[in-house]
Amino acid sequence: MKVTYYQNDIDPSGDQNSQSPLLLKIAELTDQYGMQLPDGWRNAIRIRKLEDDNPHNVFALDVESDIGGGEYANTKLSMLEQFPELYYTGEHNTVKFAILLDKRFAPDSTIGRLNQELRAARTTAQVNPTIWEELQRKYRVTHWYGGIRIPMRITNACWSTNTRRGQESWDTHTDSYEILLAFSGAKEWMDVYIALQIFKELSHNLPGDRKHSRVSYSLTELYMDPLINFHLRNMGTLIPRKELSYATNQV
Amino acid sequence: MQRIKYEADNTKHFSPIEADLRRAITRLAVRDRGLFTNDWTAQIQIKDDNNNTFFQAVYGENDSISREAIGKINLLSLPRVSCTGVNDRITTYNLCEIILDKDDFGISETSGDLIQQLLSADMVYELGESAYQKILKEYGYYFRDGGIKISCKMINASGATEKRIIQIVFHGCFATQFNTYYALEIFRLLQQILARHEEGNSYEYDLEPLRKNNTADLFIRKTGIAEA
Repeated sequence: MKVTYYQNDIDPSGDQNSQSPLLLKIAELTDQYGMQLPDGWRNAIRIRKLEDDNPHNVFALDVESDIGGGEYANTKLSMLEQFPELYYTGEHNTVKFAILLDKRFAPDSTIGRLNQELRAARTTAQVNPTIWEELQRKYRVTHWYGGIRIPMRITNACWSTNTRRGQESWDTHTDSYEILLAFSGAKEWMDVYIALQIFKELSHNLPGDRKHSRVSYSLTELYMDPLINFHLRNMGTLIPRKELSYATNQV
Repeated sequence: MQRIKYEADNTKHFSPIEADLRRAITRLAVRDRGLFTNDWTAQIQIKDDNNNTFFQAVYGENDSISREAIGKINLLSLPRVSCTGVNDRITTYNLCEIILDKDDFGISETSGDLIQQLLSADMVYELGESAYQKILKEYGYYFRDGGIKISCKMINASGATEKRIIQIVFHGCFATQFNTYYALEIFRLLQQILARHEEGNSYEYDLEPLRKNNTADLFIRKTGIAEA
């Protein structure tokens, strides 16, 4: 396993070794399910701070197997970056996928032709693989599951002087972020499982000092998709199995 | 949801068990309806040591069993098959070997090729549903996930033991691997129901053969199914 890209503006003093719990978890998962990752795998993680005019990456980690592979991880990540309205990658309805492309890309002959092919097919399996390859190559989009977006809020508390009253008190400040995480290399249901397991580990080892922070994640949108919902409810990913609530969850 | 079939040798004993099982599967079908197709089927069988079925219940959305579910049932009827899914090269290889070993398994040119394709490491991930359908049409076996067979030892209050086989087939989940999950979930529910209705009896389940299938192994750990 090798780290191919690392950026940490949350905790600039932290080198790659500060991410060892996360890296160990990725190594453990990919080792455990190695049989289902015969051609390698890749994992890409971004944490973006959502400031009004300038959403930007404050943390990035790309990891891949020694033999490479998992080329769709970057496409899944790119898809989440290109479509802010999407909370996950994965679409089995080709017409819905075509509508999505229509909204994002200016109509030209190429996208028109690809869209026509997508609308003519009933399922993703019926679409000629060359169409998917072209969509991946030219537009960096994919219909595969395995990319997730998780909105995150971090509330920091600090002891400060209240300027109006001149008294010292605890002050809180909340920032909005989002985590983009993509995994590729296994079958798509397994990509989702591994991606959610990596998110679980990341949520427990978020970069930076968290002694005076409260971190909350919104999984509401992920629950809306049946396949991801299955993993969240049944696979011990985040919450007790009996919990069927669609509400926001705090990990 | 409908009860498509219910047969039991000892109806006095098994009818309350079947009623509880039906209720539990109804709850599951309602809870996870978003993942089930319009022709989902669940078949539960309990057999004795001589492979005689003494309890059978079939439930589904329609009043008939889908061809794919029958194909999984046929595959599980082979003695060495414990799980129907082929999700990695090892499970595919094992299953094909079992089938090729079967003495009366006549291989035609077409489906022989398909099985060779399955056996070929590079093809496992590329084989589409059409190939599985061809094997189903040719042989009546459906290689996809959702069939599980578990041996167990029942020990009654006086200490006498009986060997039993529990066979569960689920078909009709949008994501093929989740069929194994639902078969295991029904098995977990059945475990609880049997424990409730047969207080004097205890069961020891042998999950090892199932664990050789990676997908089943993952789901066994996640569903909290116990060996005993």
